[in-house]
Amino acid sequence: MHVTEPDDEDRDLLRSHLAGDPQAFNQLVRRHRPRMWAVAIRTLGDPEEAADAVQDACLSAYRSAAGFRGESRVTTWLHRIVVNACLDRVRRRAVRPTVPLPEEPGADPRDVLSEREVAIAVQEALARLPEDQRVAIVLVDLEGMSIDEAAAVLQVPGGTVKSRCFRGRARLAVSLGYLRNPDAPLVVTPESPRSTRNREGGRHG
Amino acid sequence: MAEQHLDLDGLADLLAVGTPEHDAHLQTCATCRTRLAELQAAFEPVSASLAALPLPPAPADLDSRLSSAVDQLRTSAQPAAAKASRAREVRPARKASWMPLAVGLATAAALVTGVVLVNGKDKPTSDSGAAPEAASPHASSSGLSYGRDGKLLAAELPALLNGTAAVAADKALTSAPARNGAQSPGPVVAAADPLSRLHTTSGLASCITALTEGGAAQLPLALDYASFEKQPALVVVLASSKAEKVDVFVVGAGCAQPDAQLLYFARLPAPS
Repeated sequence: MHVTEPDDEDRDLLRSHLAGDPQAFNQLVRRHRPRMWAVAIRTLGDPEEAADAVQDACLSAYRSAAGFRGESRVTTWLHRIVVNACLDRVRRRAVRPTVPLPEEPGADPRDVLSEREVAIAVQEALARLPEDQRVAIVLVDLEGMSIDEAAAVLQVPGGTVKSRCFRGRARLAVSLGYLRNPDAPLVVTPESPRSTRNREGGRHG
Repeated sequence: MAEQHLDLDGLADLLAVGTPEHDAHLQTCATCRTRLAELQAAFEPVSASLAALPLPPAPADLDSRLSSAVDQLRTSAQPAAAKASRAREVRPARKASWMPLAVGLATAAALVTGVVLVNGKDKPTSDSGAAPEAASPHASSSGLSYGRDGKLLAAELPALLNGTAAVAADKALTSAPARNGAQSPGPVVAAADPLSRLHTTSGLASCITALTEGGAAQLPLALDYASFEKQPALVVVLASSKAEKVDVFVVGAGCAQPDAQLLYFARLPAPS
């Protein structure tokens, strides 16, 4: 029995789009929109900015579809476009994230408040991460990609993705209070070459 | 000698991949071993917090909004391409000059290199034939001098987008012969043209990349080799992130990464 892989279906839709099928591209977008939204809202925090980024990404994908060489999976290609659209907005507008959470009628108000507060703290801590660490954590920790998949999206070596994830998690551990403030005890002496070489965000000097 | 401890990134790297340098330090430093254990223990609640982060729902109208944006892009490109095709049929010289550039630009937008336009005669050598005709930009050389008030640019935008600006080019060049030093329009890409670099695929690609600040590749909707405040300038029209708008950039002759030499920007309503 022949089983159609999701990527085969994606490639078929892309081919149909390039052949002139007016519905194929929209169908491709509908298949991937939930994950595109998830990456955008996790990275940007702001729903309006995230929706704009997804729209930017869709239009970019539409325009550049003819240039898709098939060297990666379609989903990897689309994720890459979404990540670029998000980073473009981060760099241009210095997006200030907000954390809109769904109302949960019937739940204990204290629990909702607590969960909401925790979610806000986590989202704000994410937003304070250097953008490369933030995107790596969004793809790996939140979207469940493997290191290799995230590396393909970001077009960097797997070791780089892993390092970004671990550095990001370490910063989150401090921001969220799971690790003592590193300012005094963890800071390396200023003349240390290691302190310069290892520091990415300038938070520990 | 002051003891040097691993900083937070160093400890994280040690957990991620480990390095001989850090491993050696750890062998002799009890403080860093303790901190490493603390960090490792902290990763578990961090992972739990991330896993518990709720996913805000997408706007209810996002799917229809995306479909509309894509449909609008498709329908706005098709009639314009058809008009441009008709215009090229009655002006064969224009076709010879601009079609390779349009195809080359589509190729550049797809990040394919190796196509260089020289006086509009060389043909692309890559697989640019895959570029959809409907997405080809309209390139014109209107010869118009746009001003900072933006009025002329707004007035000319429909012609730039539907490919009829070449008619204006003929008029402008005929009525202003001194600008080109000749009574007839002459070749569109003159040897001394200060914008000549922006007539090449690689030059244009670099300029457009500078304009989009490293974002996803964008194929321009229209180009006009003109002037701005009496300086040679290129008008680049890109699709806007806002519905029913286009982004109009005017750049200087030196537009290239990382400096787009942006002279003017306006977000204008897309002509219907």
